[in-house]
Amino acid sequence: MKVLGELRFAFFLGCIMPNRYPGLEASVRRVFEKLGIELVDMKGASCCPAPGVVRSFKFDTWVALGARNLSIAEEMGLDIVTGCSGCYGTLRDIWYEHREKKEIRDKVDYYLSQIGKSFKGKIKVKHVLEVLHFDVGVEKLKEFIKKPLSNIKAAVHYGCHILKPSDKRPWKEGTEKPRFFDELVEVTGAKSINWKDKFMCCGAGGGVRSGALDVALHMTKEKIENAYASGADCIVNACSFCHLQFDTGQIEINKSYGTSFNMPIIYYTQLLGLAMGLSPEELGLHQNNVSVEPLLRKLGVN
Amino acid sequence: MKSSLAHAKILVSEDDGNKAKGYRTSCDEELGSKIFEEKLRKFKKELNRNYESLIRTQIPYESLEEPITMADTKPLIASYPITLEQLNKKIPEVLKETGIEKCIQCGTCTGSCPSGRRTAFRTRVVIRKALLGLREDLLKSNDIWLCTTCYTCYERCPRKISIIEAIIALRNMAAAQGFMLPRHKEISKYLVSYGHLVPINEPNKKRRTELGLSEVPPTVHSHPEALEEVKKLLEVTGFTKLVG
Repeated sequence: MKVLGELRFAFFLGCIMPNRYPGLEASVRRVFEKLGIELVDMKGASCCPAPGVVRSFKFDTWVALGARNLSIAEEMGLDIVTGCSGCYGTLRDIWYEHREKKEIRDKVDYYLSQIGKSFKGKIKVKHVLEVLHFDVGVEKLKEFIKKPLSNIKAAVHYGCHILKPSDKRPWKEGTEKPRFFDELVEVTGAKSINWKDKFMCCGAGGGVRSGALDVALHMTKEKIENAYASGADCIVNACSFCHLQFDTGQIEINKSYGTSFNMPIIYYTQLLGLAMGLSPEELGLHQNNVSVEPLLRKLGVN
Repeated sequence: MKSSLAHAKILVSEDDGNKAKGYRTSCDEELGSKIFEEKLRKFKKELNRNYESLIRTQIPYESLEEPITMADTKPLIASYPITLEQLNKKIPEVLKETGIEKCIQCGTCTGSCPSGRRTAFRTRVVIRKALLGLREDLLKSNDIWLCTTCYTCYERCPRKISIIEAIIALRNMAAAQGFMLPRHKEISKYLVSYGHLVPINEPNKKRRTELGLSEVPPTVHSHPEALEEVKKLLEVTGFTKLVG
């Protein structure tokens, strides 16, 4: 394993992380900085573009814009790291298909030549959790834990595109009951609890949030109810779109169903950051729509 | 269209109305009989008419032609991007690479679907309709837009069918024929204008500053020349025209 100080990545932001939940961006940047991993900005990167919508409307557009983003990192000579599983899905799938299929390589060459760029497949695409799990490792992470979150029960939400399609993903644990995310959560001292339909989709993907909001929210409502039923203190996620769906969606659910949910929604590096001794403000926790106060009180922070 | 007797059996009996009870028996008895042949003939005719009427009644062909040829200039013919040539083909041919012909209708996909749990969307039915080439039925329905692309069905399919790829291909066909949800067109326009499907706004500029981040992210938002590249690609691939 590399010494952490030697790890450098091109940081792919996407849309929701910088433009709706900058707190997540801040938490990734601050946690990585503390770990000694350098994140370099990808100047001029665009929307990934979203796998559920853009790929559904025009496959070629999805390939062309995705390849352009890949080419920016390749010019920088760095592997990509992204904290959004939607972006990860797009970039990783295109990277994979570019490697496997000639017709995709032909498309990429053709479209990128229109803007004087190229992509040769010399870099890799990683998720934030992938870097923490494989490149850093749970054992190494333990050394950075200053304030263990010992009395917290976390409902871990994996989300979909970080795991699936599994043939294009790096995990070796299958998709029915993987453990890597639980291990990353437990290193903070929090307890990862069992909960019903833990691996179910948040409801936002595939253009369902934008196209059929009621269906998306119904799914999210079921997940939040399950988290409550299991006695969770918070739902921990690793995707900016899942985060938005649980956090902003919770307000929408309360409006349309007359519920009064206030389940704190925590992005993984926000949780890890707390355990590493960063303040809730540095991690943007105060910018969530659903207050995380109950959780912070339980932790004795603030 | 190549229609096996098994397909015909079910559909013919549906044609008969509400005779669900015991339809298999009655069909089996009819197999090979004149009545059956007549029903099969009528069914095939109906299927063809649906197909023809779709081609005739959808967005006129000329308006289809332009965005599609623009997108697929040159020898760029691949599996899922829908080319004009493919639009003229029947659905089972277009989706061939996804392996839908291997479907045994076991329903594992439907049973695993978080969206189907709360809606009338049945993945198995979509695959069946695709195999039968029920083009209009599929492309006009909301069903194909209720999939969250969670891939659970794909992971569990005992025949390893690329179900999500099939749904994506159907969505591409639907969009090319003018069937897009209004909200999907709306958000697509943000991509065309800003290079982000979800662009920055004032409250989030403020939040960024509060966090000590740059007011505007270092993406296309900060690099107008990069935005031009994105716009060019959206143009060349036919996206701008599709959602315009």
